[in-house]
Amino acid sequence: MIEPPMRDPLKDAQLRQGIAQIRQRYLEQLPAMLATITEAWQALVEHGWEETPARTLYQKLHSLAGTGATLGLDIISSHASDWEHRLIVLLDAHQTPSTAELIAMGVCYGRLQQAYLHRSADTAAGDEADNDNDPPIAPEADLSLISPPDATDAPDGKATPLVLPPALAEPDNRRVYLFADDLDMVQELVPQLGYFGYLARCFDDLNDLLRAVQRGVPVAIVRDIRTLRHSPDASLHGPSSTPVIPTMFLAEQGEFALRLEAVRAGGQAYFTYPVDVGTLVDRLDDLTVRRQPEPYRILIIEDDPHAIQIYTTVLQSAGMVTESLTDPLQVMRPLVEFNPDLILMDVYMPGCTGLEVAAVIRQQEAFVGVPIVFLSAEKRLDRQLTAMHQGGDDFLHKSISDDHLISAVSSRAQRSRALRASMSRDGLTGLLNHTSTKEHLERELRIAQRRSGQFVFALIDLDHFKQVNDTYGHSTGDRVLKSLARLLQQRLRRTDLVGRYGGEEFAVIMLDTDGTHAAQVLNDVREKFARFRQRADQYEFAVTLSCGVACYPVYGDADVLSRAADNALYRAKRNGRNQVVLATDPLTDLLP
Amino acid sequence: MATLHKILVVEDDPDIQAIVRLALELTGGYTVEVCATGYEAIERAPMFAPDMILLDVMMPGIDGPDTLHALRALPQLGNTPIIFLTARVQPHDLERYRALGVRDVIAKPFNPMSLAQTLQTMWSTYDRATDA
Repeated sequence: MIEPPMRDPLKDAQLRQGIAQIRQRYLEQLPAMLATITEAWQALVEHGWEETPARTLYQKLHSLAGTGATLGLDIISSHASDWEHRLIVLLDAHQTPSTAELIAMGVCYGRLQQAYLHRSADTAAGDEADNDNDPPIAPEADLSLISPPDATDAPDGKATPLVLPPALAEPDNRRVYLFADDLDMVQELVPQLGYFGYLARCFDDLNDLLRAVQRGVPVAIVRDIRTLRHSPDASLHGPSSTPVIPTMFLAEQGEFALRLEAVRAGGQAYFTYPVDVGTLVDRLDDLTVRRQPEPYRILIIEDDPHAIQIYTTVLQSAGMVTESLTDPLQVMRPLVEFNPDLILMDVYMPGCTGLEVAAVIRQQEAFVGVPIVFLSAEKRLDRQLTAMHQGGDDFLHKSISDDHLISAVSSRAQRSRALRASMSRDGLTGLLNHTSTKEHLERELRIAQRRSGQFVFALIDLDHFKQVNDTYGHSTGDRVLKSLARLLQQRLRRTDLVGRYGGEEFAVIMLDTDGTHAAQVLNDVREKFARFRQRADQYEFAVTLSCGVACYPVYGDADVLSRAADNALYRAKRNGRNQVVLATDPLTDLLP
Repeated sequence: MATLHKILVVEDDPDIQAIVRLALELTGGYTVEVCATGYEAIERAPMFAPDMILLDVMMPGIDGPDTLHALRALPQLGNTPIIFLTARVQPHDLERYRALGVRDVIAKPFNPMSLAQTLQTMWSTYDRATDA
C-alpha cells in the first residue's frame, strides 16, 4: 500500500496563501454575484413564478453555497444553501410556491443580504471606503412585496408585540427611529444626528413605526416617554433568538417616577429635553461602533528565506501584515516606517546575533515597548534565559506548530498594542496625542518620500474656544472637544490619522490625498460642525472651527509642512475664522 | 503497483476549479487537467488518460451522471475510478450515485488542505481492491 504523502509545511503554507488569494478575488466578485441573485429574485416576485428563471436562480445559489463554504464564507453559504433547498424542492415537483413559501424565500433573501453586509464589514479592513458612502441596504420595495399584510394592525388599536421576520432582525447600524406624539419635540434631532452619520426618521403613529421596523430594524428607537400612555406594549420584540430593539426615552423632567417608568419599559437610556445630542450619539455609538481592529504588523528578522516564507504565509493566513528582513543590520528603517506591533527574530544570524539586535532596539526609547519574540532551534534553558535577559519577551522553538505560532504572536501583539495605545492616545478624546501625531507625521513623510507619494497635514483650531470655557465651564468645553473629535473620526477615512495637537487644536494626516480634495473634505467637516448645536444646561450655542491645510510634496519636510499648515490656519483666523485655507505657495506661505 | 499520477477535474465553477487545481498540484504533486463542462471532459479525457476523475454533479449542459455514462462508454476509461464532487449528499443521493457506479463522493464544501490526501487514501484502497 502506498503511504499517504508526507505533509510539507511550506507547501501547506503556499496552498493557504493561494486559497486566500482566490478568496479575495471571490469576495471582490461577490457584490456582482449578489446583484444577479437580487435581480433574478425580483423578477420572480414581480413577474410571477416561472420555472426557467427559478432554475437560473437555483444555479446561482447552488454555486454560491458550494464555493462560498469551501472558501470559508460559512454564513453566506448556509443562507444560500437554505434557499437553494427550498427552490429545488419546488423545481423537482414542478410546483408554484405558495404565499408562505414565497415569504420563506424572501426571508432567505433578506438573510443573505444581511450576511453579506456583515461579511463586507468584516473584510473591509484597510479599504479606502469613504464614510460618506452609505452601505448598501437591501431595497425596501422588494421586501415589502413579501411582507405579511399588515400583521401589526391589531383591531382594538392596541399594539401587539411585533414579531420580526428573522431575516430582518439584524439592525442597520445607521438607522434610528424617533417616536413622539408631537413631532416638533424630536424633529430637530434628525439633522443633528445626521451630522454623526445616523439616519433618523420621525414617527407620531405607532403603526407607522411598526411597519417601518418590519422593513428595516433600526439600531435604536428613541421615544418620548408620553407615548407610553397610549402604547404601553409596544416594546419591539424580535423572534426569541433576537434581542429586543434597544429603546431610549426622552422626557421633560428627570424625576424618579418617570425614570422608573422608563426602566420598566425596557429603556436603556433616559434624556431630558433639550436633548444633548453629544450624549445621545455616545449611547448610539456604544450600540453600533465595532471598529474593525487594524491587522497586527509583524516584523520578521531571519536570515533563512525559506523560514521567512513559512512564517510569512502562516501569519498572513491569520490576517496579520508582515514585513521581513534577512539582514539584521537594516533593522532601523522598518522599525520606524513599518512600526511593528511585534518583532519575530531568529537568534542566530550571520553578522550579528538576534540578542545583539534586541539590545540595540531596546536602547531606543521609542521602541522599548515593542515585544521581541525569539525563534530558535535552541533547547538549552540557560541560552533561553540569556535571550530573555537581553530584551527578548519570549522564546519560541522553531518546530512550533502553525496554530501555536499564530496564537503566541497575536496574543503578544494584542497586549503590546493596548499598552502602546494607552501611551499614545489623548485621554479626553481618544485621539492620538501630540507626540504620537508628530511621530506619525515623520513616518508618513518618510514613506511618501520613498514612494513619491502625497499626503496632507492639516491643523484645526476651534474659534473663540476660551469664551466657551469661560461662559459655560470646562466640562462643556470638554464636550465640545469630544464632539469635534467624534465628527472627525466619523467623516474621515479609517486610514486617516486624527490627533489632538494641543488644547483646542487638532491635527489630521490624510494619506494619498492632494491638498484640494483634503480641503473640500475638511470644509465639509467645518460646515457640519458649525451647524451642530452644542448645549450647556438650558443654553444652546454653536462653535466654529478654522483650518489650515498643507500638502506634501508641495512642502517637503515635516517642519516645513507643519509650519505651512500653521500659517494657513493663521490666515484662516485672520480672514474672519470659520474657514479652511489651503497653503499653495511655498514662497510666501512660509514667511513668518 | 500503480501510482496515482493524473487526475481529471470536471467542474464548472472557476473558483472551485482554481482551488482544486492548486490543492492537487501543490500538495499532492499530481498532474491535473481541468474541464469546465461535461462535453469538454468527454473530448479531452481519452487523450489525457487520467488515473482518476473528479466530477462535479450539477453542471449546466450535461450534468455529472450523464457525463459519467459518456465517459464509461469510452474504451480507455471503462475502469477509471470516478469520484463525485457534490453538495447533495443525502442518503438517497448517495444511493443513487452508488447505483451509477461512482467509487466515492467528496462533499462540498470540502477542505482544500486535505483534498490531495483524501484522494490519495481513496486511491490506495482501490489499488488494494484491484490487487486482491
